[in-house]
Amino acid sequence: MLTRRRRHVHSIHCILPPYLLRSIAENGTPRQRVKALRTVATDTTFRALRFAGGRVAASSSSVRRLPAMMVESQRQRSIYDLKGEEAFPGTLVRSEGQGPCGDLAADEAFDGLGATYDFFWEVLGRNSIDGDGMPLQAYVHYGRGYDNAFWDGRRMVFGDGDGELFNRFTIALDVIAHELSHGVTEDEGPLWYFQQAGALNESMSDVFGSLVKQRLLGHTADQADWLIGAGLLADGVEGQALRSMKEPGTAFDDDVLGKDPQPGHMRDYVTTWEDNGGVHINSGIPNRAFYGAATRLGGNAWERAGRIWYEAVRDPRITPDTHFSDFARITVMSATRLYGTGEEVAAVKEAWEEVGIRVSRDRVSVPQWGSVQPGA
Amino acid sequence: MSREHVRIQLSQEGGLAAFPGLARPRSVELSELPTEQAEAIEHGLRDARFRELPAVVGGGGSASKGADQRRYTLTVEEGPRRHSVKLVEPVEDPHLRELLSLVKRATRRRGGGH
Ligand SMILES: [Zn+2]
Repeated sequence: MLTRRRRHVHSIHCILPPYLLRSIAENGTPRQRVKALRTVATDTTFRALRFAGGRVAASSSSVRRLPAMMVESQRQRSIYDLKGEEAFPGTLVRSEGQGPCGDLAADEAFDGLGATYDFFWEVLGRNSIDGDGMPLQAYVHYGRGYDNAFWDGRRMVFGDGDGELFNRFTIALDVIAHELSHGVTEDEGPLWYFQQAGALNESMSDVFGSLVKQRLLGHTADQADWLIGAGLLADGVEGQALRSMKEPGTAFDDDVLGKDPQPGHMRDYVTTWEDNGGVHINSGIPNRAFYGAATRLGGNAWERAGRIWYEAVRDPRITPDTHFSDFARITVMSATRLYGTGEEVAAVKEAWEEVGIRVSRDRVSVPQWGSVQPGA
Repeated sequence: MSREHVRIQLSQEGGLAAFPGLARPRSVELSELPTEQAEAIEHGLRDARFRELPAVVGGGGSASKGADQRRYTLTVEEGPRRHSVKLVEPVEDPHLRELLSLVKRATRRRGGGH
């Protein structure tokens, strides 16, 4: 603690020890709370403190990872060109501090990672994927005509698209932010990439993906298109994007791609073994809940709704098999913790209720929608 | 084996979004393809030693990490014989990657109207 304080004397936040910040977070005005939480959010010991019931827990994570209370932005981007191969590591074509390299996909990836890093840092006080300045690595021109983008556990990979169904995958900022956010969710949580937990993981990436784009465009919740991957589908494909958070199931309806299979309500929950148990299908339900909360609150979605969701995904009560209903309850608790019992918590509850999940004072229930088992 | 009796089937799942149309198995008879394309696939099957491959190939990294990766199931039917292989990205063998892209091209024909 002493060394940390000595190192960061330039910032007023750093004079405050974590327990005091925690007290502000619990008892301060909403404005103070957000400020305090933003500061504490950069300190991984907060997770241990927050639920230690006042006792200072000797968390292993606080030892493992030297926490950064307030540090300068540590954006460190590297873009590699795989030149049509599917073999790493490719050629480094642009790194931090360098100007555009002239390759469209590489420069889009560079800018996209920058916008996403800035979002997590400036809005949520998170320093990169691991909260500790992890360098960001993106690989472009993966494969030939490759129709996908993915996160492989440590790097982001983007294909050029086949030009017939898909354009290059760096064309959409929210797709870049989606992939980077998988790194954040993976770092934060134990969520399995399967069934409802996996769909929550997917939804978090869509939420942050969309928020990064909304913030860059200066769009309020009402102005945003709430689409994921607009511009990615090639000309001639019947569709506007990969997904719609506002109206899941309406993003595309094409003779080759088929029809957007996303449900927007628990009554339409899809039970399947494909797609890791429908992680990219049922994410429509929590996506629409987020949309609902953000539009009820109005203004910039990243300011309140985004922070509530971010606090929720960092909550230690997130377990590997967290269900939508568990997550709904945790968002309600996050809203209360951040903003007290005001319009925020009401907006969050109403949004979940609209997708078929009711969070009451002390329990959460999913009314019988066909065969859906809330705890299944 | 005559080209008349070779049927190739490809299905895919996973990836950044769920596309029912792409998840649906798509198949093609080699005899239905232009000669050049059919020959390329025959060579691809041979070069990748497809018939000797185990049921699951690729994946590389750790199973508990990563997101949006895609998996393909490639099936070749030759008369009564049938061999099916699940390919998990990233597929590292260049022959297998080449085969996969040939089959993708051959089985993904857009319908009329586009
Ligand atoms: Zn994803």
